[in-house]
Amino acid sequence: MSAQFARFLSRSAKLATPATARMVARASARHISTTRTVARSAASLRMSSIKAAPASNLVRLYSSKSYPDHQVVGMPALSPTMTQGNVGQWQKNVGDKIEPGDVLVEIETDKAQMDFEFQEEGYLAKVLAPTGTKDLKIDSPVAIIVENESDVAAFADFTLDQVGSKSDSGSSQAAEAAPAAEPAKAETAPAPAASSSSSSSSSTQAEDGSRIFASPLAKTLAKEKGIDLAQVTGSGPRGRIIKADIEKFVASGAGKAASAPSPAAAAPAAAPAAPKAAAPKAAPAPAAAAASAGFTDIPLTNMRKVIATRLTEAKSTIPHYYLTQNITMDNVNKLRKSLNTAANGAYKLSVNDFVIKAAASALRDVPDVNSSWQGEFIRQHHHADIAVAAATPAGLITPIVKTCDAKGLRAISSDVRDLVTRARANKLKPEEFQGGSFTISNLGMYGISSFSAIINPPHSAILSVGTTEQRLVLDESSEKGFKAVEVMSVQLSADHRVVDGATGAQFLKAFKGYLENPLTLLL
Amino acid sequence: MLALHTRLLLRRPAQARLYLVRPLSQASAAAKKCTDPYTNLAFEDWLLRTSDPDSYVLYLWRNRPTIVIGRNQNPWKECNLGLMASRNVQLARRSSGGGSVYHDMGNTNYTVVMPREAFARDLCATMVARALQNEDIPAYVNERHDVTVDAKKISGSAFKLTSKRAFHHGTMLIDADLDRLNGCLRSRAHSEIAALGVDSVRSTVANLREYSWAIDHLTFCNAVMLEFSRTFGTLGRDDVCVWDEQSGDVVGRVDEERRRLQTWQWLYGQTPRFVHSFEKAFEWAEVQARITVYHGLVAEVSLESGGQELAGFASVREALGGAPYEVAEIERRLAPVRQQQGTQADELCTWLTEKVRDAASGAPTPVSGDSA
Repeated sequence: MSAQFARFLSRSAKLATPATARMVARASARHISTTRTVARSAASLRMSSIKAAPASNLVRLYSSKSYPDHQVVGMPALSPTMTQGNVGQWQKNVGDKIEPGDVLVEIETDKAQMDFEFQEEGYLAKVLAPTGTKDLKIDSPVAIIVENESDVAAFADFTLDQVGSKSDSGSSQAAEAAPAAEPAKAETAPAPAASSSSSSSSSTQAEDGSRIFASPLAKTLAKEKGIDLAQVTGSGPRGRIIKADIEKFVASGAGKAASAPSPAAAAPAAAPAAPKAAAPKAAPAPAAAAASAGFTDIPLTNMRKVIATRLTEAKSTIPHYYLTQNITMDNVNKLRKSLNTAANGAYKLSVNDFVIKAAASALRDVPDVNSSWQGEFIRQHHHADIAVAAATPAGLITPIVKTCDAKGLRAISSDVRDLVTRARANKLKPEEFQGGSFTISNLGMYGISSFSAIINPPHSAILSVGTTEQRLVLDESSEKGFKAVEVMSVQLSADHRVVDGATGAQFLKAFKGYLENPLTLLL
Repeated sequence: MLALHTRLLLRRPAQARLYLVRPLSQASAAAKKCTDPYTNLAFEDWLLRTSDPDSYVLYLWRNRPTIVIGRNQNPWKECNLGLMASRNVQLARRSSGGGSVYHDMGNTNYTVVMPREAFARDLCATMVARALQNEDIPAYVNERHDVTVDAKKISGSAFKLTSKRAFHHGTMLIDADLDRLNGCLRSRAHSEIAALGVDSVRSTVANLREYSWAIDHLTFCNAVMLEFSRTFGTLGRDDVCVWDEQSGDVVGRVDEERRRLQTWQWLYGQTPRFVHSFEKAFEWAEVQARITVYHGLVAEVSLESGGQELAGFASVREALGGAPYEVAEIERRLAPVRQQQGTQADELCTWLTEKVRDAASGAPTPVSGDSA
């Protein structure tokens, strides 16, 4: 413990001013949640030296240091049923290069020992969960990965409670910063609640030069919301600002009008979201949503940011064009009914499964549509890995059903069901939603008759499937001269750089052929 | 001399090859080798890494008396290292998770290696339970995925997963020496050590012998093989192989791994950080000691006596820094401190050594036996 404290002081001593008060206050501010006893002694030291040091060069806002772009790696869900895990031996040290597929750390959960293979490139900048940490929930932060080796040194003093309060971080991978920010904040919350006024308090400088006392949690919240602490009245001991005060301030509507530059606004602007979808940020987002008369500002989740960037990029760079086709679904419906009756509960096929299979067969017939634009060349895929757009509470995600051309309806059906269930539970592996060569989006269940979807880069086409409606068509062979048929409208949005109009039309023709004569799927 | 086997079964539901190894020799020398825990563990690891990705492999093996701790466990906390040394019980650390178990010739281990996607914790446990039921033993799988009879644990399980393959291995207490088991798995320093890493969960155990006269190693193996072939596909003649440790090519393949499993670094150095705290009231003062051990080496020694720094504290701290946490080493390092610092320091050193002996005594390097 004493060694720890010594380290705090020496670290702080590296900072500019020699003023004891600033050193100690920084030390206590930084490590508030880790060692309360140390903080208490640090704080008491500070109390005595405050009288000595002048107020003007005291600490600035606690979390003012900004870190380079980095990824917070969280405890991965290495199996569908895993809820928490123990951290085993770290296989990489801080500063090591990580190649995709390298084992980062060993994880143990419920007697199973597993290797956590990291799928991206980077350098290990900080280990947040040392070997032996027990019962860490899924998504709790375990490490920091940076892209550049030169950024590694900047994280030497990075701690867990800074995970949630960083303002210009990159997107996080399979785990999020937010659930960790919540435990970190929960840890600091008992501190303001503690009755002793000298423990775990830190100060910040107001514009008029007098010190403002605020709890670390309050300061983090204030920074997030862009609130100037000088405008908030504290209700804690000795006028200290606590979390409740910030919330009251926000609720009173005065928060949004704050003059200080809002770091919260800077966050969405600065985020250079890597195009890898991630699950959403949890609690701090709703907590930080500022409500005022007339509107509510909802902070962006990581998923939302990724969707925004990728689809803007797609819509603005890809020359989309749209082809529509109406497909008579009577034969498919008949076949589906008969297959399902014969199923005896072993499977249940849906229209979507037939659509996927037909698309896969059509892609086999017109391989030009099964391609992607790679800048200098076009990549034509040999297999139809079809991404199926699924709506989850967190946002849109497209899990991929691999090699649909080789799979039967039953396999496709069970794959889709499995993938969508896991997508909703946020348990997809990265390779299950990244990649693929074609997308199918089905809004038929919402009654949409037809729509034009946006292509998912790097695919070169997306099929938008609407609902099946009954229509009257002319039929000479019937005595009435017309008959009722089930018609489904589909639209193909295609990338004209890869798929010319005629090619797209050929694809749709093949697709229509397979659906209107479903037995040709057997060929 | 008991017949010693190390059998390996590879099962292919549709595609995989199978081969089995049959132990031939019953000579004493071969016997010892066949039961070397490190060779067996190395072989299991070799199976995991090199078997056909789609195959299912069943491996049946036994060890001479050994305590096998889980990947992230603490040997000082889990076992009585001193007792183990005196009774010639070896220590091994496996690569799968979970708690500590006792192996001896009355305990048969089974390992099933399977494709990663097929992995389910209860899959093989239920298979073994069925095998036992076929032998008229009413076994079932409890919520901790252990095979149990009459609410007493007869088998412990652990799992390891890699990207392509996974295995489930477990023990089966047929006729093990339970008293020895209890003795060795009770560390004197258990309550004094605060450790990160995985703690064992204690359960009441029983031998299968209590439920059946007819059960023994061979019967159990046959029952499991039969059930395995029923679950994962029929085993043909060529599908069953028996491995004799004398077959040089197999031994050669696993030799490196076997050596690695015996090193101090693996057995003790892979322990997560822990703190050993204890206190004593001497005539001259009350002393509280806390020793932090990281990677099996002493990282920090904290000695306090009512906030005061007494004579000898500093030199003890200095002497012990970086020492491997074993009695011999600790004694050696404290010897100069004793001589130089007077009676107080001497008493202090004696006490510290005693406490470390309580926790850490035992063979510093494992008995290598007849390594090939």
